[in-house]
Amino acid sequence: MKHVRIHLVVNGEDYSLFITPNRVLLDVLREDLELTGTKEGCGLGKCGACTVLLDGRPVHACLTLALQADGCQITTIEGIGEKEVHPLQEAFIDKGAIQCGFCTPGMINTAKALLDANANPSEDEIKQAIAGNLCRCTGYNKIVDAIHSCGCQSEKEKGEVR
Amino acid sequence: MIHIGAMAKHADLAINPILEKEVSILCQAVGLIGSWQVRNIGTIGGNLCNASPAADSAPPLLALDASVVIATLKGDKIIPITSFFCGPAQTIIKSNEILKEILIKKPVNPSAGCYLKLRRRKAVDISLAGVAFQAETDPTGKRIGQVKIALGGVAPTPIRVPDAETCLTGLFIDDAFKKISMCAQKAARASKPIDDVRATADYKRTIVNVFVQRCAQHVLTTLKNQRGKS
Repeated sequence: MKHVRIHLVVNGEDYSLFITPNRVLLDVLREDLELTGTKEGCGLGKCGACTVLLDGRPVHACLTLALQADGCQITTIEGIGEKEVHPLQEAFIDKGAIQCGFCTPGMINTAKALLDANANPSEDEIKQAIAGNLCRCTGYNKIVDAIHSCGCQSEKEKGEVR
Repeated sequence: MIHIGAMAKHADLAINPILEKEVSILCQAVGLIGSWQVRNIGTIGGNLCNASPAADSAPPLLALDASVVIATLKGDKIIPITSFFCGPAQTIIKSNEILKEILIKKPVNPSAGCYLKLRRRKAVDISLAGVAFQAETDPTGKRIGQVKIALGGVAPTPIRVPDAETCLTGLFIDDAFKKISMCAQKAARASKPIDDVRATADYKRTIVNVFVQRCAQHVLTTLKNQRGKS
C-alpha cells in the first residue's frame, strides 16, 4: 500500500509521519509515537478505553484513521497533567475511581472534554457523557463522584480568579 | 430549504440551533446514536448509506419528507428519501456515485416532532424499534395539516406508514387525540418486524403501537400548547 504523509499535533508537539492510509490512530499513537497510555480495549468502538481528544472532542482512537486526524490537535492521557497531576486525576485518586486502571485514560479524556464544555455538569450529564466508557472494576459511582467533585472544584477556582 | 452535508457529524447536528428550531426530531434522533465518541466521528451520510433498517437518522428524515442529493458522473440528482433504501444494507446509490447532501423543507406552519427509540441499554445500543412522528398544522393552526410517521428496525428498510397517517390528517387537534389508538394500531399492523436475537416480532409490533401513541400524545399536546400561546 502506498504511504502518505500526515501531520499530527499530539499533546502540543508536532509530528510528521509517513504511514499507510489504513492505519488507525490508536496504533500510530502506541506504536509509532510510543504513547502507550492510550489503551486498546475492544478495538470496535464499544468500550471507550482508547478515547483521545481530537480537536478537543472525545473520539475512539481505534475507529479513527490516522489520516482522518491529519492536521488536528490530539490530546492523549500523556498530555493531561503533564507537569503536575491534573485535578481530574487527583479526584479519581481521592474518590477511589481507579482499580485496574485500564479504562482510566479514556475516562479522564471524556471527563476532561465534558468539563471543558460544561464546568459544572449534573450527575445526569456526567452519566450521559461517559456512557461510551466502560469500566469493569470499580463500578461507575466512584467515577461519577470524582468527575462531579472536580466540576464543583473548577467552578470554585473560577470564582476565586474572578 | 435546509441543506445538510453528507459528512456532517451527529454530535454537531444534535445541537445545531437551526435544526433544533425547525426540525428538532432530527436532533433528538441523531443525539441517541452510539456514544459521544461515535457521534463525534459518525456522519449522517454514513448512517444513511450503511442502510441499517434500524439507523436512527432515517425515520426522522422520512417523517420530514427529506430528499437526498446524489453526485453521479452525469451530475447531481435529487431523490426523495422514501425511495433511497432498497433493503438491509442496500441503497439506490451505485458504485460510482456518492451521497452529497440531505435536503429538508422547513415547515411552513406550526409543527412538532418526536422520536422514540427502544433499546436494551440506555446508551450505545442499536434500536430495537424507532418511531418518528412529525405533524404540522394547517395555516389556521386549528387542524392537523399533515402527519408523517416513520418506523425504524421493524421492516427490511425504514418505512412510512401512510394508513396510520391518514387517521389524523385534517382533524381538529382536540379531535385527533381521540384517534391516537386507531392510528397506532394501523402503524403496528403496517410494520413487518422479524424475530431476532434482540426481540420477537410480536414484541416489536407491540412497541410500535405503544411508541406511536406516546409520540402522538406528545406532539399533539405540543401543537395544542403552541396554539394556546400564540
